[in-house]
Amino acid sequence: MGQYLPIILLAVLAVVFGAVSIFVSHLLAPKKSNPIKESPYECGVDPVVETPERFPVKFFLIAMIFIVFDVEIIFLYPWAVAHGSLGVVGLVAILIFSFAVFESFLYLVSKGVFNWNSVKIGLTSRLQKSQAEASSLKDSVLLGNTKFGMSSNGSNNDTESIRRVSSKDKGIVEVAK
Amino acid sequence: MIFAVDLLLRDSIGLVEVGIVLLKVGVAFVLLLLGVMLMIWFERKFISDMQNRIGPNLAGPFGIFQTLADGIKLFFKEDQVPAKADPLVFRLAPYLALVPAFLIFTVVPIGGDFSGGGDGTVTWWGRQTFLQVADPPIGFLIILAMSSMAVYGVLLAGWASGSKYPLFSAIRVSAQMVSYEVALGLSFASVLLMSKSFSTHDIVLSQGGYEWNLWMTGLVPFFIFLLAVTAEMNRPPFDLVEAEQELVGGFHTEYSSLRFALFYLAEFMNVITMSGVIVTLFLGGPEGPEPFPLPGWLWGIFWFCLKMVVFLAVFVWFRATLPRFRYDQLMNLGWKLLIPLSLVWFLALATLQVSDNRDWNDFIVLASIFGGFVLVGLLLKRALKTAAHNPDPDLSAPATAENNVEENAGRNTENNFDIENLKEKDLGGKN
Amino acid sequence: MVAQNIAFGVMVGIMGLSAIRVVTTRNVVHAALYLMVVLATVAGLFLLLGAEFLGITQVLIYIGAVIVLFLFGIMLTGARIGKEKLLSHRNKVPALMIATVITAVSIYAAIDYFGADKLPEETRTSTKEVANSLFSQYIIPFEVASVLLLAALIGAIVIARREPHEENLTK
Repeated sequence: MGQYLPIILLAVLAVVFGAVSIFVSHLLAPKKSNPIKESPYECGVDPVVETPERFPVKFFLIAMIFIVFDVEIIFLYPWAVAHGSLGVVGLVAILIFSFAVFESFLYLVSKGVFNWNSVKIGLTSRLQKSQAEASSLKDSVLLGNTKFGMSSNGSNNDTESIRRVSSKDKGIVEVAK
Repeated sequence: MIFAVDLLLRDSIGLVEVGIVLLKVGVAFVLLLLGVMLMIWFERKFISDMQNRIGPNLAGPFGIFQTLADGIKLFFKEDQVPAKADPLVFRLAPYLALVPAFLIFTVVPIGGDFSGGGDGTVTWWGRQTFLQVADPPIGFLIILAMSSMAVYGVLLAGWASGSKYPLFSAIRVSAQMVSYEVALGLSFASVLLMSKSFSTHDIVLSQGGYEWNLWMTGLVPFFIFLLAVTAEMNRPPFDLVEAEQELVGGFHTEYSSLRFALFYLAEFMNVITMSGVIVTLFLGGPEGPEPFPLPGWLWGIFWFCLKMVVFLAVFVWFRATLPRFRYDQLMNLGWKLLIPLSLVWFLALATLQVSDNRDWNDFIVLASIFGGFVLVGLLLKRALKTAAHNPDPDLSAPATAENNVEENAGRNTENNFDIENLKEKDLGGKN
Repeated sequence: MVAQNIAFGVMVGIMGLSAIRVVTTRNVVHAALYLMVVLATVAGLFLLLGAEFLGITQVLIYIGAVIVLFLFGIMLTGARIGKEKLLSHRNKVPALMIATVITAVSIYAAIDYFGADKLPEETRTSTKEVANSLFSQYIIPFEVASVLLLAALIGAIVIARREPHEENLTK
């Protein structure tokens, strides 16, 4: 028997609980707002730079890959439940299916889609554009935007870290020069 | 046999059935809230012990009411909606985090009468029922669906705040949750292979006689599941969502008062429900020895709670001992190790199962599985090598990094934040 | 059956309102969220018909993945808080006409095909039945789906790559 009404009931209860708590809190809490309080959080500093609106395409790529894998998983499930009666044909079918998806996975891996340690690459391409010295406050904060997912071993507007990273990889230094 | 109100509403419903359902829902609701209260206390106390300090000890015995005190305090805090926020989505996001956290628990069987080979039914007022809120035939998928819904709370809270740190956190963490969901789903599949049913109750039954999925699936799916669940819940060491050193408070930086409390509640509720899910899927749910006779279902609840507490302790232990992962390490672990491993493990288990049913030569089967592992390993190694030596520059780096900077820099000159105005307004208000 | 009809009515009502909001709202993220509500009610309808696996798949794939992708895509191209000025609804008359025509055609097709047929009392399909038909009758489409997924992944990569002429522009 499918029993979905209790689940819906609990969902409603959860929403009601949240709403009532927030309402009660509204009654109890002070309401002394001012523009400073309402401004975005900036570690105590006045917000200088607008919230960035665009993101690296890489995150989008991850979401797209996820859909493909999600669909694959959904196809695996019915087979896993009924594999007893499906026998060898089912096994072969699922092996072929998984192989096709795994193959594309290998392609993604070999393209470096899952490589996130791109500090070096980001730096060198910026060096190639001879933008390394241009590191105004605005730039550095915005670069923080593009690199927030990267490793934390070096802030990119810091020439020190550029030297450190690039000296690890002599080839890159040469290209940069 | 099992009476409960059905969405399809074809069965006649008596008052008793409605009563049982209401009771179950009420108990689940109260249990979860109490559980969260105790869990937060437990976590703080356990971590303090590990760090050789005392932890909360003033509110009630052993500080057990500390969470309650904190919660009450939050009621009296001002609720801020930032000026730059999207008010509708900002207000919606806490609910989107809270509801999935509640709903996962509905399909977790917390006990049942398994004594003497029983099938876990309990008799209440002459009606047989299970000790779980609902047992839909696809209960298993509800867990997965709800854990995928959990992305929304984080993603929307971060976006709607209109502030940098929440936004960074939101994008970062939704990519993380989405990545680990694949590993989660694939290790789920191995469990399905053993249990042959989506119903969580059947999954528990199929593990009867200590044929727990933990060893029936060969340990690997269990560990993958444990890691993936930790990442899904954004618990340490995968708590990049609230990496305080870089992101302030993560996606709930701009949240205050009860909206913040709801996020907090959802987070810890997820820890509890996911521990319950692990116990259900891999550790035989409420199964355990019965050293002396009690009403059968009491032992079930006891063993279930005991196993669950072990996992709660494990999650706290993770937090106390492991340093946070870097984002590239996180992605490497998820995509390059857990996903291929769980997929190959699933296929190997599947082959074993099918060969079991039809008397194939064990040696050939095992050899071909081993060959498959080696082949996949070699292929993956080769792919990784290609990626290391010859990566596609557009894909392995965030391709739009430089473009983004230029565009954003251009855009920001248009709508600079009006600091001067702000200060004046503020001063005027004070005067 | 009465309760079922009430549930159907409620869901269809929510679905219709949300669907209208998807096209009338002037914020792209809101539109994506309304679309999520529409898809959730579709899942609800599947459940109501007893197609539980399909219903939960709808939640998993569409709500759990596709809308997340939409949101990522919106954030990728710059989702602003507040109303988009560029969303002007300039083509609303032709769009409305096309929508009306499509609705009329689907309603006509449904009535033409099903007529006064009634749903069977028991419509529940178990996952095992889904699996059995997937791996016998529909095995070729199933395998083709894997190739489709492969193509989708390669397509994703092509989209994510920078176009050569774009690179020249930035230089």
